[in-house]
Amino acid sequence: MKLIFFLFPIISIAQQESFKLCDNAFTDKWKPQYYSFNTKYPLSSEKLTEEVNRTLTYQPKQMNGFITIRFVVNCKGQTGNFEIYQIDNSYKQINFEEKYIEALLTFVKTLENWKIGTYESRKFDYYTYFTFKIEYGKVTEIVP
Amino acid sequence: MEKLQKLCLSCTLLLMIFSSFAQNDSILKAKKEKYITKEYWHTFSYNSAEWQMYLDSALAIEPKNTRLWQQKSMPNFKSGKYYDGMRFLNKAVELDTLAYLGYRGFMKCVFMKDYGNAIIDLKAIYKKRPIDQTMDHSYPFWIGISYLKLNKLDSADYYLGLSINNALLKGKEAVHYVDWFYWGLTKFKQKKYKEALSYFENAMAQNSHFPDVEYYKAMVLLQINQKEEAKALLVQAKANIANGYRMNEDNESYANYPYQITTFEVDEILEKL
Repeated sequence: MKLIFFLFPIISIAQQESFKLCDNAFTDKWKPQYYSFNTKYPLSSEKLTEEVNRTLTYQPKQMNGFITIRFVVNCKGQTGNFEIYQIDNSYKQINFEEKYIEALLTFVKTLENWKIGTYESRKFDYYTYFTFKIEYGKVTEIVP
Repeated sequence: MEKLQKLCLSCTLLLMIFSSFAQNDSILKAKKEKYITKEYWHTFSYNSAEWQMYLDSALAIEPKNTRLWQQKSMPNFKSGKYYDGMRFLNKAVELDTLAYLGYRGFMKCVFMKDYGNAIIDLKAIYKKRPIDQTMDHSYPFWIGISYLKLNKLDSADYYLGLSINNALLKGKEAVHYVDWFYWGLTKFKQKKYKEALSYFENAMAQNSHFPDVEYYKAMVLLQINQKEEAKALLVQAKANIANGYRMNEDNESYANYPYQITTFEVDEILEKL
């Protein structure tokens, strides 16, 4: 896996080689989202926050702002096609340290209990995301 | 003769100008009808490029239309893309502060969990519009739950109490059960168990399928050594979740509300009992 960073827009894309979309449901006009299937990750935001801080060994004090990791959950419950968005506390675009983002990405990839997006017995790939609110290197909140 | 020719020419020119104005006017009216009145962007999914593109077309006609800016902003918030979300929403707030400041406070509170900044917006709008609401709740409610998440319990207690006491002026039925839930949760965190139980019961009296309140009421009961009652409530909460009941709040499907639980949290406690 390789992270590629761009300055603006600050989006990095990490592709898992083994990850594949299951069908052709994604089109330019329609991209199913987690809320279309009621498939938020089945842990409370508070519990997820606790978990991520337990696994994050690198928590530099100068890190403040929001990191969003947006990705696809395919119809097998696997994750891939990661995109990263980063802003500071004034909601301006910034770049966090790559090492820190990789640690968050690793955490996201350890989550395995994704619900499958299903509608009328058909399984769908869908987009979802986590936003990590970071204060002094520590994750204080996770959205959604 | 020459004068008559000049007059005819002038009249023709004027007619042409008027006709051109009328034509432009009718083109503009047609565009306005299509892109704004009939909300053409709604023809597309709000995550599509077309949604943004047709809103841009509408904004080219009415750049000060705040609803158009809000509509551009909303899908970004629902994808965690806060840079664009906030950029567009700030335009709406800038153009009509009274209409959008409370909404922005709500977005910061629920969609970003940025409670400190949410409180700034919500207090500012509460000062200007003390009796208004956003997303079915008073501004003191949103300020209160923001303080609760910041663990500033005295402030949370004050604002949630204010929200409920204001509603009580209209009668007990005017109090939203989610207000009782969060005031109860604040009392629980303050270790004021008697009040917490009473407020949770008020919430349950209005909504008997509310797993979050059942879970936290069970937490209080465990604190006062009523283990069996707590266990029964947790079993009830688990059944309610399994039957599809959850916090019935605006936008809950997009983002968890503060301290909202899942089956995992219920099972975790049940396993220990």
